[in-house]
Amino acid sequence: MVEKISRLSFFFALLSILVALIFSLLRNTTLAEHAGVVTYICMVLGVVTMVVDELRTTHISIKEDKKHSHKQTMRRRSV
Amino acid sequence: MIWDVLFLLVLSITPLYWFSNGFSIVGYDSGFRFSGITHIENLLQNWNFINNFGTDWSIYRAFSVLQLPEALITSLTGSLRLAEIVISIGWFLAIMLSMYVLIRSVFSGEKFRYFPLYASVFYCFNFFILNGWLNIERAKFSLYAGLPIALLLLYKEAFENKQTILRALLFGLLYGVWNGGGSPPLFGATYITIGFASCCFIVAIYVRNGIRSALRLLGSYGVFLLSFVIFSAYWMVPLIGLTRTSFGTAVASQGGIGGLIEWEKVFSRYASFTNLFRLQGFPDWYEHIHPYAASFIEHPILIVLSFVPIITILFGVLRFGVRKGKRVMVVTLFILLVIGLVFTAGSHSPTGILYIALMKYVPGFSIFRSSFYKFAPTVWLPMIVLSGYYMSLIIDTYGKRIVWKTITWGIIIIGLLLYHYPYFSNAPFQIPNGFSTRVQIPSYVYEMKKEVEQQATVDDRILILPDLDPGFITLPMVAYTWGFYSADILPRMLTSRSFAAGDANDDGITKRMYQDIYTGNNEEFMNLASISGITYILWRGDIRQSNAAFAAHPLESQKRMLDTMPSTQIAAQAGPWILYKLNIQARPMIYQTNHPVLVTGNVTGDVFAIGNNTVLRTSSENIKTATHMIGLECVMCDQNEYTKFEAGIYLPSPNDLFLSKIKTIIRPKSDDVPKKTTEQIDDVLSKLLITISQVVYGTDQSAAEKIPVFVNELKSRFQQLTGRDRIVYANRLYAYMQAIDRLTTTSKNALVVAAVVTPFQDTLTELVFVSDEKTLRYIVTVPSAGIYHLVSSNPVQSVLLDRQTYIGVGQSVWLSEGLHTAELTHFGSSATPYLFFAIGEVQQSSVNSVSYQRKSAGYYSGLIQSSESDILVLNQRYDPGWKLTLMENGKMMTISKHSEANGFANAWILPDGYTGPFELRY
Repeated sequence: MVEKISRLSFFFALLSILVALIFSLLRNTTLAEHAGVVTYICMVLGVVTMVVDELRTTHISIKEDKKHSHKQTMRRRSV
Repeated sequence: MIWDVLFLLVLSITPLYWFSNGFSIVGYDSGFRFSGITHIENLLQNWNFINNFGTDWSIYRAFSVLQLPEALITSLTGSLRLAEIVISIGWFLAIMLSMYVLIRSVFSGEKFRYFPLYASVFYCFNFFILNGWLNIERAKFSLYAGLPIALLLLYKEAFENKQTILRALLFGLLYGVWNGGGSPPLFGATYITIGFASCCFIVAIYVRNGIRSALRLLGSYGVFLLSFVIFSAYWMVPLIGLTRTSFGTAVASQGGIGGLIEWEKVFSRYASFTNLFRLQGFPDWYEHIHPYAASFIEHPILIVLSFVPIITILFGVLRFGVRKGKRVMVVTLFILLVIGLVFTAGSHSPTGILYIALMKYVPGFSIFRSSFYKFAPTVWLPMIVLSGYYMSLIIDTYGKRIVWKTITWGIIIIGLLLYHYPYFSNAPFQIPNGFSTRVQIPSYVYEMKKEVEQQATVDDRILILPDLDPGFITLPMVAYTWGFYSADILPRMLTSRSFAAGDANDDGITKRMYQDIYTGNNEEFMNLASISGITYILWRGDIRQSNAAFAAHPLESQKRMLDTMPSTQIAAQAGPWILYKLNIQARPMIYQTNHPVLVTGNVTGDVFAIGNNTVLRTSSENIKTATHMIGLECVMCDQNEYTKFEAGIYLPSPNDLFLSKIKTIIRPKSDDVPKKTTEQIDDVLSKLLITISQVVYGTDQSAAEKIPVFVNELKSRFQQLTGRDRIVYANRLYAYMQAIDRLTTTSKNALVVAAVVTPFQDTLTELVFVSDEKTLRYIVTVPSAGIYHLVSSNPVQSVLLDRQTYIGVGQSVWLSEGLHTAELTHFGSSATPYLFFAIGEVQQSSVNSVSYQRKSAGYYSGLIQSSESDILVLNQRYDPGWKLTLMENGKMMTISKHSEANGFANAWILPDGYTGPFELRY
């Protein structure tokens, strides 16, 4: 879910920066600026969810690693 | 790797083109000095004797390291141009290699084969750095080049638990040498990048390895910080000392925090997020300072190309996410980017309100008043690295053959260089009005440098003529017909001699000397030149005047006045530069004198108090031979000063009101320290303005009820004032009431406000006492009743005293203790006279020279032989840092009595009949 939000945010960021590009080409500075602000907001959302996702996956993988190494230890002991 | 480095080496010789055909890059405060290693020796001193009458420059200590390479080369080869070529190539290499090392160390593997090259080239060839090449900003380059290495050291420390001490030493050494000129504001991007990157790495280590590892890393970073402090102590210690005493003054000189915020707004005007995503937003681009900028603002292809890095990043992160392996670094760079954008955008909307709040309420943050230039690397670095990272992934995914990848990267890197085409032209050095920092220095400049060094000693003082020119911009600048333009005057760059000029550090005495030259008042000029130790005048006939300067004092007329000035003779000539020697008895650097005039009062211009006696700004000294004088304070005497003051009053905007609420939350009211009545009035005035603003902007209609409460409080506080404060605050309050009336005229609540404010304004009318076009108005507080006589710096008509009696200059009058007023009819544009009330007649003084030895700019030692003179004067600018030590009964004794002499110099009152050795140290 978090990853999806992150990807969606970056998608809208990409979309709005393309809009900013179009308005820049049309010399409409105000609308280009607004599109830039939208890009920034989407980017912040994307980065925040990216960080949350990163922390979550790291935490899960460390847990799994520990579980795995614990299982291996138990197996060695049983052998 | 060898090919990569060779490629970067080839690119680093780009500056050779700039310096071809004998061109140098000087001016625009580039800070280059022709004196080589002597300049470094001067930088190691705390006292700079070259600027006017001397100044503390301990804050520039860091440049003694940063400018050492260029100084060594200049001294060894005798050519500043050669030194500039070598250091320019050096900075190109340093910037590129530092980024190369970061990327190559962090991102390894075949898919990232060309990533280090791309990032290095882009990190060096971009418009932020090109902007710095205008005047070869070594301070900026040093921190910019240091940033990737610092980031790498922090990263390695987090993920490789070895060599902490070695890394910490490298970190300290890095910033000890690449020290940003010891300018704390320039460290803005460094603080943000290092601070947030450290936090990210600590959190990453905590999540992976637990709290112990995170704490260990925190400790390691503490060692890094310690190393930084130790290696940078040589420039940080003097800076801290000076900041404690002068930060408030510096802020005040910029118009307070409000002035700094306005300044910041100018710099952030174009720093929108869209422009920052394009690695643009330079205020200079839109003010037509750089001729190349228009193409990048208007040309469609260049506009599209500017979006390529950000589109690459966003497309890349969407397509590939963050790949395993370097996740921490990539996520950290994303975090740095989103934070860096807010800081770099500064006061620009929509996050500008946060930045302004930081400036207002975080002590010391106001030093980052031009956010764009201070924080830009926090955007540039992550943008460059992330775009390279995703470009690598994109090319690796869509191109399987090595040849195809190599060709694609070749096109990208060459395209990058072509996009930044102004690097390969002279355009980066051109500035408005036909000036340039890339100039061919005429040979006569070097010839005059030699002449000045041969003829003038380090204790001589040279007045430059024509004076600096404020006609190009509002600041006094110097401009030459051959293109040079700077606030830092050329003669001071040429040689280690003392040059006086009307620049920002000017003393009133210099301004008066220029005025005397323009008006042909040779007698007063010679007297002031003698007092201030001016022994030479350097005429530069190749000065380019602004229209305003030409209209006021054309070169020809200045030259004519100089040629007809008595007691001058030509000492040397080189092209249009002429060195005149003044045949006057100039006062030596250190001398003894007697019969001083002691001046008190809230007024400047002491040196004009009387003839050539030494004037001391003190009242507490008990000197039998002294004459006491009280200076009269001219109230709002500058042209239209009252009108400007009144026009400068504005109602706080709704944003300011929001910020004032935050302020209340952050800093709860403290009644521990009782406030002065004047401070209480200022507080009430501020509340009144906020309340009126709420009423006018309609944010709080009920606020109208508070207006009479505040006005009544103002009335009662004002009634408590006496003496000078009463007049000053009558003027102040009147101006505020007038401004409130003006600011609320168009509001629908105008009548409500006027009903309260106007009656108060009327009661103040008869108390208002300010100068106007026809009359100069003075106030003076007489400490004790007695007979005083009037002294004036200029011939004046009778003065109306206390609106009752007229007295003329030299006439005596009995004055009671307390406040008195004086009014003087003023004619046209003549200089405002300085008026004084004196007790007793001024006696003829004598100046006795003292045998002394100059050991360095801030250290003199000598022998006092005459016991008849009770004052010792050092003709350097007054600074409490100067200390006099005497030897009495075999013991060293520091004299604490130290006061300002003649409005600029230092003076000590010697113990009765003292003869013997002395030392003066700064």
